[in-house]
Amino acid sequence: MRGIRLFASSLLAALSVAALAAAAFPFAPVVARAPIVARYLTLDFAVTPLARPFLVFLALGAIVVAIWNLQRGRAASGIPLACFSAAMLGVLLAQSVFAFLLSWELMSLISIAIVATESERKSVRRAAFAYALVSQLGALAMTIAFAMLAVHAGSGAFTAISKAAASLSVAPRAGILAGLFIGFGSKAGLVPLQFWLPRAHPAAPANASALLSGVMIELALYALTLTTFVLVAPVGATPGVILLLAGLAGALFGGLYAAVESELKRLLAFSSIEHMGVMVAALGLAIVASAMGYPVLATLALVAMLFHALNHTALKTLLFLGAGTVVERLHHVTDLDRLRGLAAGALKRSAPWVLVGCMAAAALPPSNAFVSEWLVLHGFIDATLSGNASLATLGLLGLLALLLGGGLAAAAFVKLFGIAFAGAPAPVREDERPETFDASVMALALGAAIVLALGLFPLVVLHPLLALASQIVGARAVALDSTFAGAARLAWLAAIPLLSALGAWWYGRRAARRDAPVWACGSALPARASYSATALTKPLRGIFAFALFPERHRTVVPATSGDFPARIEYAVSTRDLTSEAARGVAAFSQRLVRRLRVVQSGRMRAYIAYAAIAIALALVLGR
Amino acid sequence: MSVVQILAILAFAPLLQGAIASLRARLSGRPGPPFLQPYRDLTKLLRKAPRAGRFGSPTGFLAVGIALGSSVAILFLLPQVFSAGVRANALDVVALVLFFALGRAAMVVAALDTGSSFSAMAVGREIAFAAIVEAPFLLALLAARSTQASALLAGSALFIVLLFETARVPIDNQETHYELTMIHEGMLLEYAGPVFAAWQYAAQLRQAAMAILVAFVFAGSGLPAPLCLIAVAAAIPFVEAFQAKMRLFELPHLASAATLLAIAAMGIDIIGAAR
Repeated sequence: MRGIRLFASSLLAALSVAALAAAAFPFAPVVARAPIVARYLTLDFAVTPLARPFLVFLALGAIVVAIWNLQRGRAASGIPLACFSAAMLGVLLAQSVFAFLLSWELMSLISIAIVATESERKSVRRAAFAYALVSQLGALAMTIAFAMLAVHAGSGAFTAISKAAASLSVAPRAGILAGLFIGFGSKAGLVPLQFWLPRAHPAAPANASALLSGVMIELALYALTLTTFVLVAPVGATPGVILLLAGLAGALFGGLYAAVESELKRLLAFSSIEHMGVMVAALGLAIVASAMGYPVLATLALVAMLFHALNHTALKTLLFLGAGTVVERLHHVTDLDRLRGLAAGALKRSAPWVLVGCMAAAALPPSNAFVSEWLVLHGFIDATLSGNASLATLGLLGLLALLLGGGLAAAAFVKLFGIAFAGAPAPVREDERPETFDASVMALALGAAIVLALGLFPLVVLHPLLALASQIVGARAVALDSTFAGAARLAWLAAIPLLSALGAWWYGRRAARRDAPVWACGSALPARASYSATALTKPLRGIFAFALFPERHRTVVPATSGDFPARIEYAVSTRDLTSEAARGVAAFSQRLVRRLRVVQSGRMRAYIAYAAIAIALALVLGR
Repeated sequence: MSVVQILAILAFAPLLQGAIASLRARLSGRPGPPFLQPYRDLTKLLRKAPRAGRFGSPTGFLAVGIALGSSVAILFLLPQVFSAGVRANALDVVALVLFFALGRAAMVVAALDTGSSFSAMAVGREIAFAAIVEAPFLLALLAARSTQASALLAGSALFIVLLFETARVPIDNQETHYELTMIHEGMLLEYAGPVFAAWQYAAQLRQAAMAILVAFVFAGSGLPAPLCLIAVAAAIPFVEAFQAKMRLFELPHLASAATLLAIAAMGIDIIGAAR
């Protein structure tokens, strides 16, 4: 068992090193030609400048997960994760349509299989089905779009496609962009294609969720950037506006649902939608600004997006692995209504690192996401103050949505840590050993160290990202000196609360424990009367009732004797309209598919006829 | 100059609190506490021995340190109200808003760490209202950067945000200890001694910072900044004395009003700039 564990982890670590090496030393393009229709079916691999930061993100996520996996009892999941990471590496290195689609589909299929790991649970099966459905529909849309691009360029290589893109006429260009946006947007969890994400990401084992939420959705961001700035460039302002609005909708949706969610891993998944929304909104802003002739703003937005993506990888890997530790140590209890006091109890060693992750996810100083959120918001502020009326309107809209979404996400993570980690610990179980500083804690500590280091020394990565972003936008050496100086100033400002927190901890480290009970109007409350996460978010459900449709269900269990009921059960539910709509679409498509099943008669004669018709069609259309 | 302002706020933030409390009491016909009462309260609390939470976790101390530190960090981000050429200063509005959020998050975690249900009840309200006043906060500050046309609108929006941030009537009432309605006091119900003093002082620093920000925004209309500051400080007890506390679920409307005012201010700026 131990051998497999070590082998799987080193496989993952090796992949991480490979990704880092590829990012550091770009190799010469590798081209493999398939024998038939060689023009389109080439497998080109190379390292492009755009892929390099994403290779680093992949390396970062993989290495942290590899360390976490070293812990006893996590052997089995390591090898599929290594395959998954290899497929993601393929996506980043792919430089032709065929190579890209092949790697992308491999990545999707492996991730679907990983999501379905615990398929004995019905919720997992349903989540995997929803994911598979969306993923394959997205792949269909994207394949058609890529085929159109390749046919137009007369070659499957990305360089040829990029050169030929300028001569695309309006209608096919719009069609191609729509196909690619659907394909990549569904993977990125863009509203309204996000409904599968909060179900599928948490359904996977935690280490897989970390890679799904921390790395895979960022590959969708990579693909969107590749599409809009390389393959179909220049795209003009309208696709940028679409991405911007979809991103803002994602930020609002993710923030709101994360704030009222009570299941730990689903909350993290909603937060991924929120962060992805922020990044896609920044990408949209970059496209719009670039199309309207504001290269400096476009560069700033792109730098902010790339930095936020890096930060999201670090913080979401950390948080999902932390959730994995919760799952293991608390025997699959991930309901925030039932978790409490983990910092003083079962997760004594992991809690500080999870706190760092929570602060980062809420974009609070001194974390890394604080700096990148600051950059994104500055991009939108610059848009608002640009003097161009339409850009200013988009900027204002962006500020409103990002602040509201960010505020709600902050509420979500304050709730997560405050309810599950702070407070009175649950009584210790008999079979429970106190947490030691093992491999999983080490992985969390590494993640937290990266989060804090990026937050306190952001310029180390901002300068290379700036060089890359100005290259992508095509602007000549843009200087963002004043912005970067502001970002550097944030670092030492953020050090003030950090230092004063350490000082306060030092001051209080010898303080005697308080022995008075908590004030409860003079009575002693039992532990089960402690406040729950659901109760904590009641005001939010009230304020956002127009979107959440909260309902309270009360069941009275009558007593067999006496006047009082035996039990009264309360349950609170909220609705997610996008999810309901998706379920409708899925049901419809299943009905449709059942009709189409007629063609699969199982008779050999029919299939011979199909083959003949297909060949005839290919001959007629392929001329 | 910046150092002078920071030191002045560090020294006089409790005085502002005392002045507001005293004025409010006088306006409602009571003799009220002396202006210097907050200093006496703080020194009294600081003389007590520090106590850790009942579960021995350091969360309470860490949180109060973060809150105090974020309040101090905010002071470094404030505009120079008393020097010439205020308008030219670029104000880092995003950092301001996020440092305010940090202080609030620290207080919320500290409140939940006590395990008290009354504190948690207050936390539920605090996180809900905090989420909806962040947008008007930033937009109102942003509108302050431009010409005077929008300053009054933005200033009014920011004043409403101030009432939210500083736990004032009609949002909250600092003078009651009625568990079911309070927000700010409710979260600190379980704290005492030097830690409680630090919480109070951090809140007083934030209040002084908010007052300066509102004065700064109003000063954009051409009024002298010191006069604006005095007006803002005097307006708080007036509102507190003559306004009833609003029902909890009416408060989102107040936040929406602030957002609307801030958007209007920004709108004027955008149209003005596009011309």
